[in-house]
Amino acid sequence: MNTGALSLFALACKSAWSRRFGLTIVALSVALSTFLLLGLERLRQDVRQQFSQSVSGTDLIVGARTGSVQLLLYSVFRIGNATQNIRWSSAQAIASDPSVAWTIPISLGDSHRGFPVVGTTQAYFAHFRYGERQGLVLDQGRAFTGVFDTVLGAEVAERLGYRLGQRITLSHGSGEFSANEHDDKPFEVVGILARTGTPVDRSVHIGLDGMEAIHLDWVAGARISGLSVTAGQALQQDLTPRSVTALLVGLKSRAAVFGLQRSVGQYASEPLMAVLPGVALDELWQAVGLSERVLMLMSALVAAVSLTGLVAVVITGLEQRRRELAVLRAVGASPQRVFALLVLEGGLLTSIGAFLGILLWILVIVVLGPWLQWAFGLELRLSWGWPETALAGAIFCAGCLASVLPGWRAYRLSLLDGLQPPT
Amino acid sequence: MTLLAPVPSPVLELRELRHCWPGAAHCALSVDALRLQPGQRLLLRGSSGSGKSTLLSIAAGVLMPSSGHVLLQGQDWRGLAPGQRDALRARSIGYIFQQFNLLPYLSALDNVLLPCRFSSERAQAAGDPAQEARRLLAALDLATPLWTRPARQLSVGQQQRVAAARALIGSPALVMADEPTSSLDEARRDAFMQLLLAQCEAAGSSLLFVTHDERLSRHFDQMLVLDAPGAKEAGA
Repeated sequence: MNTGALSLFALACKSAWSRRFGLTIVALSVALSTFLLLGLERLRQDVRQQFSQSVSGTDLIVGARTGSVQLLLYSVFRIGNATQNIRWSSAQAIASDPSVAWTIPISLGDSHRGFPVVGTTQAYFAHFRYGERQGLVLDQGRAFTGVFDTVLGAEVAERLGYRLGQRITLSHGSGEFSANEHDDKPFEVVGILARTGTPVDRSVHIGLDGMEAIHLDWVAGARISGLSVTAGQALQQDLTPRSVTALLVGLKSRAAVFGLQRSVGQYASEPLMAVLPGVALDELWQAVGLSERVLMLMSALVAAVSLTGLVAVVITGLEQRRRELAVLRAVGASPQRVFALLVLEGGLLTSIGAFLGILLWILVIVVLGPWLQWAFGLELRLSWGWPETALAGAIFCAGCLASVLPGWRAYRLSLLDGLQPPT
Repeated sequence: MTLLAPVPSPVLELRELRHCWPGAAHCALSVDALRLQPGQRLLLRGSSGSGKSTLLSIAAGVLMPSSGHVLLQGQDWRGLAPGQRDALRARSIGYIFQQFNLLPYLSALDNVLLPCRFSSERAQAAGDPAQEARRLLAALDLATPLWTRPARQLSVGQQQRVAAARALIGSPALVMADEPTSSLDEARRDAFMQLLLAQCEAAGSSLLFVTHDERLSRHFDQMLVLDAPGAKEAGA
């Protein structure tokens, strides 16, 4: 029967609206923690995906004997330095193994304005795969052919505003000291790769011969004084590399992977190792994953704090609302109804907060997404799946659960006060 | 004992009522016998601290006395479960506080309709509750433009009239008023009394009215004077 009277829900809404200033703050704090939780979850998923897709289609990574994670870090992510290189003869021996389809040599150690320089061969453009076995695509220009040609990753070109034909100077090491510039042998930008969302975007690619050329007059990381080889002279010399940092290996058949791994490990003329990229990636993720879990824990704590704030605000407000509760009791509301009213209010607040948080999350991904991609190389996708539903649901449930406390307090107060609240 | 004629059961009946707060030396309240018949008006007087508020809470079934019986429409509060007490209270009692009667965030009309929200019997008795609420507000002399205004914007006198309309909607058997005129000036107090009494009579509701103002006693059939620790009953 429609009595024309307000429903309990409408009553809760109107009551909350009359205290909207304090409650808005609470809803905003719930919104922020929802945003934080969802944002971190999205970051976690996307970082993990980008991470695991940074190399694919490579069966083995070969390098000097070291930790498998370290080998992965410098060969794929270009983080840190190799302690030892592998001889060019060893690299050639592996490449000539009958089970090997292709090899990509990687030579590291130089940089350009903070971006790592990768010395490699044409095989890099032909065989390197990332993501779902996608190959590299040149956005502009061509692959390097000359000794002093360079192909830039998408981010390098975009950040530094480089165009085809421009000449750039590489630095020895990570480029902290200007004395370490290879300024006598500039490289010409001949190609710019399309964006991949992998460390390739942040790399400056040159040929192994170019890498050799700029180090002709260098020994043990320093320019040999008195000896200077001009770019023109360098071209006359033998530019066969003496060593490379790592070798990405593709096999004709994956079945041969363990056999080759073993034979690389037992290579007689120098200590080498071969790792499976998938296994090393998992190992690395386990280390990185800890900080990821810490982040999730932190945001869960933030959510808990904001829900505690909700409980505190609603309970504090209750002292001033004892009048209101008594009036409700006098018009026939049972203490259970009073309890329900308070839980409804808490649920309503959490819903509004969670909803605002989701809106904020969408807004940030849509509006700030391109900027995040540009500034941090983070590609955030706007997608809603089970983890997001679970998180939003968890916040809502936690909010309703937290509201039981003020509800119970209101119940006690309305039993205690009856129709005579303290004035 | 035989009854010569069927006597209607009293709206409110107190028997051998004693109430003592835990740890107190004297009982806060003691009433030997009280009967309030349908349509009758009872004035409850007493100095502050004499237990008037306690008596109202007990009569409304919110507080259980230490001993004795309190019957509303023949039903002993003590024999009812808490949920049944809430239902009986919602159905049979209209309550007017001394002040702050209204939910400030609801309109006058929504405030009047509140009892219909919590008791379907009250809603049923009102017929068309919204229509009845308007009739009562008009009868209690509240100007139409004020009906949809949030209660917090009304003057104290206007609020008390809205509270009276709320207590009266659905014609409850008993209207209880706890010094509703104490915050009104003399002219408004008399006007309020006239309106309240007329509407109680129209609704057929008994009235239990608490005041410390002796001048109001002429409006009542019965008077109960509370003096701690005992109470005497006197006819008016």
